[in-house]
Amino acid sequence: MYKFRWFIFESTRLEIKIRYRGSLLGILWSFINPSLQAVIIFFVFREVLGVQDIENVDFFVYIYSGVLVLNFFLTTLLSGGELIFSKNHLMRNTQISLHTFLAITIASNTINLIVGSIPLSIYMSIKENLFSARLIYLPFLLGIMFIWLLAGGALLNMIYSRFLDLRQLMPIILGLLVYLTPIYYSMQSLSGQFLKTVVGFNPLTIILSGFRFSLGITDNISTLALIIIWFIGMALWPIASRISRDYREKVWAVQ
Amino acid sequence: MNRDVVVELRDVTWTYPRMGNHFLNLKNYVTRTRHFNRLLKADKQTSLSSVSIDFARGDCVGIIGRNGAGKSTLLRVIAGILKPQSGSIIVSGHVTPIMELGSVLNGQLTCKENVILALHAFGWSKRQVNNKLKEVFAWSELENYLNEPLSALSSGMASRLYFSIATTQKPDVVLIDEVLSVGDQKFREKAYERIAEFIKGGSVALIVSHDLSVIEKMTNKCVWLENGKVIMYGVTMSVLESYWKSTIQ
Repeated sequence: MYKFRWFIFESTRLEIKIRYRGSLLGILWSFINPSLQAVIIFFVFREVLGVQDIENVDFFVYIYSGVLVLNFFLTTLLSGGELIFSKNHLMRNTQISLHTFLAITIASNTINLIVGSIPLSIYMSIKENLFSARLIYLPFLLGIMFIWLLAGGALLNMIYSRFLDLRQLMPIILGLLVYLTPIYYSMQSLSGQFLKTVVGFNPLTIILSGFRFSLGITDNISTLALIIIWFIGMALWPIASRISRDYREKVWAVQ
Repeated sequence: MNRDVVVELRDVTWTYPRMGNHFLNLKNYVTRTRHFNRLLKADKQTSLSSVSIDFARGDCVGIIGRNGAGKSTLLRVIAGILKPQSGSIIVSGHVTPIMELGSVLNGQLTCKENVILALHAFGWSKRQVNNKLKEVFAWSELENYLNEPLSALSSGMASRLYFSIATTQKPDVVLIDEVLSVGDQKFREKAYERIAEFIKGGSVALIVSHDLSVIEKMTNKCVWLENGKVIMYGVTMSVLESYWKSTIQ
């Protein structure tokens, strides 16, 4: 991947450029999109269902941060998992590996995540009247997400090359994360030990709590859990590398 | 390995699963029978079968054969795009594969953006790319199209641009797959000249083409492949004669 670092950089830049080409608001959609989603969820839960602030946190900010991370994770995983189809010709005719294309997908979506986080970060800094030192967690969290998405993306490409049906099912399966991640509810509000365990062991829950903590939205963070999922991610890395090395045979299968 | 040998292949075999429609769905996995299992194991396409061959500095080698003979696969294996299931490959030096133009260039980007991206795809640094940008456009005679979208170019012009990108740096091994058949006479002559320069400078060129006049004109040696096996390797004219005879029969 190091050999193609400039290719990754340039491709990421151009991918973002193409994504917003011709659009009046351009990259501003990175936070308009999750904002609109958050507004709808906020309205449904606050006005229709009467849900109050969670953990003494502004409910809208709580939802917005959740939507931002969830969108990033799902969009990256689903589009990264499709690379065996979308970049098939490039993989057949150049020396660029699946890992490199995955890195480009993750990087371009990370830019969106960062841009989407800026207004949130500014709002929180003004509200708390300080620039939170907790932001130091953010690069660490991005690193964890990068490793997990790289491994997950490589795995999805392999699964799709064997079971085409799962390509249709995967968005629905991953859609479960919307409910199994505390986007619009808190861990404390969950009833039943089983549900708490399932949601608690969801890596996205841990990442999201870290993200909210780093932006000063909540005060709960389990550094130990973050370290554990970092190590799990590192353990997944060689598996992803192994998959990536053997993927070319599969690329032929989906021609 | 002989010092002049740049590419050495020993017993190289590459097969791929011919999965087709009967394999790639969940239903077949769930309901598969013993007969189906047997089919899966047997259903492998051999693209290269125990290929052993050397290519030396200064050689311009044509690769001929019918469709599906394994010509493009041979280039991909040498380029490192495909890893053979068995056998060994030793390649000394920098390899530049020039294959399927359309797949590398992006119609949504401008010519300049495409050139930058493609040069990076060959592993070039930002500084190297900036230094070579003018040269690429000058060689391809497309300076006026710098900021035009790639889709504004004809396929011949696009191939000229891509050839210029790929050959800006002198490679040790250049692999060309049917690229020379696209484009006008002037482009072909320029491309031949550039390849000849590389060969003079000690590179080796491998050219896949169904146009035997290109092979005859450009190459001094020729490989004839059939069903993934080397049928003949030697001086171009004698290989071409045998190939012609076999096609007439």
